[in-house]
Amino acid sequence: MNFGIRQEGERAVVVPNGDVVASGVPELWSAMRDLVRSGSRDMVVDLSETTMIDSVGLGLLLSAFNSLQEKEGAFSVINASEEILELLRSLRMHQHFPVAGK
Amino acid sequence: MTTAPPTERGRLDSAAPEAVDRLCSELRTGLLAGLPARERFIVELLVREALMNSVAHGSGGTRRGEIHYEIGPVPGGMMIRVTDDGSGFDWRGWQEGGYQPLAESGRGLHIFHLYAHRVQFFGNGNRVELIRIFAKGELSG
Repeated sequence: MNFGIRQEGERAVVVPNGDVVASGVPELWSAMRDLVRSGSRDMVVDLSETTMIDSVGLGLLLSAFNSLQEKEGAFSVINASEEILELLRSLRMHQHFPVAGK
Repeated sequence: MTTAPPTERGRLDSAAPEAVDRLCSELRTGLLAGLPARERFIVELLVREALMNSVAHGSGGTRRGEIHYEIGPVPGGMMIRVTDDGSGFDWRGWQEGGYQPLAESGRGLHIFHLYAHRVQFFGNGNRVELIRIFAKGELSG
């Protein structure tokens, strides 16, 4: 899948250019894992270009959060659509990392 | 009075996530196009989870299994039925109270129960039928 990564000071902002679903998660996870391995300790996933996220994509967010938590890092999600925000909240993910809508 | 869109029936062209994307792309511009954004999101998510369940458990990752789907309107909502020729999975072991937010897997079944008003598995779990009743005030099927 297409995605962008921009550095904002110490923070890495990952921007998927489309849906975060099973077909694209392995490639995205590989890039996010590399960021953590290379020392990123503050990661933000910007969902402004994402209209759909499935259970595999949700697992990706959890994997990233768990990886950063192990390193005492920070993880958050921003610019989620109303529908994705509702899903994340229903699954109680907002209780573990910050989640913000558009 | 509007006419309900026809039911979509078919077989995925492969038991792979990319085939799920292709079908969902067609549904967005076809069967689901007239739904409000929230219902469109929910129905597509249920379709994806049902199909991915079959991709994961039905074909064992071989991409060779057969996955059949039927998606269409029912009074007040939408029905999704997915059948595969795999060995199924232990759907009876799922417990609603057992949801773990931090677990990295097992979320698909929770999504079924979160958004579908009826969730039924048949046989060894290789057929699932979901009924989503649209929220009050939304379009009916």
